[in-house]
Amino acid sequence: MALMTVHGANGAPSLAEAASELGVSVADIDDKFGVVPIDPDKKLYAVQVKGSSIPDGKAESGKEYRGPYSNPKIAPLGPIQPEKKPDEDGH
Amino acid sequence: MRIPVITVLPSQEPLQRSAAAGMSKRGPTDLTGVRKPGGLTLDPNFNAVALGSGRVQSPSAGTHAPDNSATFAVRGFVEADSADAIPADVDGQPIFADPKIAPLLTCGGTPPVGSHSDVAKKLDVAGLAARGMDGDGVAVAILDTGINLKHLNAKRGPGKQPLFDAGNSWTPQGSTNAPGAYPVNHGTMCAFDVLIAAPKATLLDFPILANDAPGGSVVGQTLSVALLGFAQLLAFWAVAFAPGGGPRYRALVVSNSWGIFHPSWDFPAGHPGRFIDNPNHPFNILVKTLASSGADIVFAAGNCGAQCADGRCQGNTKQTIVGSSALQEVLTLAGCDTKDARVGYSSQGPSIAGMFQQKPDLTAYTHFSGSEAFGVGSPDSGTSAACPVASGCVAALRSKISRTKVPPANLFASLRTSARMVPGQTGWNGDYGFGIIDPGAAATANGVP
Repeated sequence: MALMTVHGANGAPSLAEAASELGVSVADIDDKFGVVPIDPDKKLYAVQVKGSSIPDGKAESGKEYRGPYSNPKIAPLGPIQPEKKPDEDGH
Repeated sequence: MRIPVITVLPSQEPLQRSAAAGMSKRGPTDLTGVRKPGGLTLDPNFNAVALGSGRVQSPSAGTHAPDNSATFAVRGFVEADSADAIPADVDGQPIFADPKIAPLLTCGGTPPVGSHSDVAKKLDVAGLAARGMDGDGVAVAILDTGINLKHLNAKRGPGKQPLFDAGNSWTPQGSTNAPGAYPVNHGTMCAFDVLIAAPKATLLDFPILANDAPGGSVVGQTLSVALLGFAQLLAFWAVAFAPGGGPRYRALVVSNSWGIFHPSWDFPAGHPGRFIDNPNHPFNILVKTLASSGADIVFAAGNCGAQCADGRCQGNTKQTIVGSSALQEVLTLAGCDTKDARVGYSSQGPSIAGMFQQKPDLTAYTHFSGSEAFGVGSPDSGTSAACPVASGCVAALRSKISRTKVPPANLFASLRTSARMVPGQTGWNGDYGFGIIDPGAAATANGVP
């Protein structure tokens, strides 16, 4: 899964509208994640796209970059661990 | 350059007088007339110390009395072009190093340094409460592993049960736990630490790091879960103005004691979708949106300090304040112990290139005995604890300081300018930011009587 951004001129777009905007099938959009507002004033929303359908990361000239954005692992900042565990790598 | 040194001089009257003054805890005496090498300048503020015979084989208290001592240690200075050019002696008189010394740093394995009561004293929580600043009417969202109210109640004792808003807490899809009923873990520690300065704040449980959050048990906790939690907060605070929604509170404080330990957890450097150095990542946009709506957002700086970094930092201790912790719109916390000494694992600024550089903003207390969420005798540690301690301070301030009159950026600015600088500090530095948080001074700066 990777995060992508979509626009919604009239509020949050539907999954189908988001898929159409990104050029993927609606089945490629994570329906459990849904369409999440990240900046309503700019009509900007986030969706998750399944791995096999993620467009490449190169922003087209003159066009806004819409993803994929990383969805890294995050962790509590404590307690302090003395050494890295093998399964702590990657995202 | 002027090099501090120690040397040993034979007995003479001014040194006897100086040593006697030191032993009786009086100030320094006049050292004029002391016979010494010409290249040595004596430190007039340092009392001579009687060394007795100067031989280690037969030390005795009698020979160390100033009147009987044959030799005295004195502090002084010599001139040298560089540290490599320091002579072994001055005019034949041996000199010894007088190096700077410092207390041992608090690190991961260090036992607790003081308790939550000490933290409350350092923050003058009683004084804040007397001025009406106790978190009353303020919601504090804990974005973490979930809160265990039973543990909080047990640790805080009768009559000190925290206020909790289950209805406006967030339950991740598929979760089997109710808000406030998560296993005792990191999130419970954070909740306990918020309540030190803001005992009347209302807690909101946002278990973005809980194992039963979406995908949690399979791939570990990921940023997209935090994004869902923040979106819920945005709806709660900025959109849901229906009765029972956000406006029932004076303010919303969002406490974030989580982060990324190493760049390898993210996309490679230079990728336009990277998180840690990209203010335009969707999550960072959402954080800024929530901040602009009037929420006070607080982040931990990280645990990759140079002296004793968390092992997950993989030895990387430079530019380790990353991602949302490095946004100008949030308040970013380093950690110190209850003796005001920076803990060795607290990440140091400046932050990662591409983000706001002057991070951390402030320092708050950590590594004290408090929640014991990790077992009896375990400290509340990490910048993880410093963050909710500071969040509690912000919540306490918000009981009296309006978010409309003093929006988050202004409140954070006043916290920075009113911070208590440590000795030798003259402004922002990468260890402490602008200094140790002083909520009472910030309140005064904002006109709270």
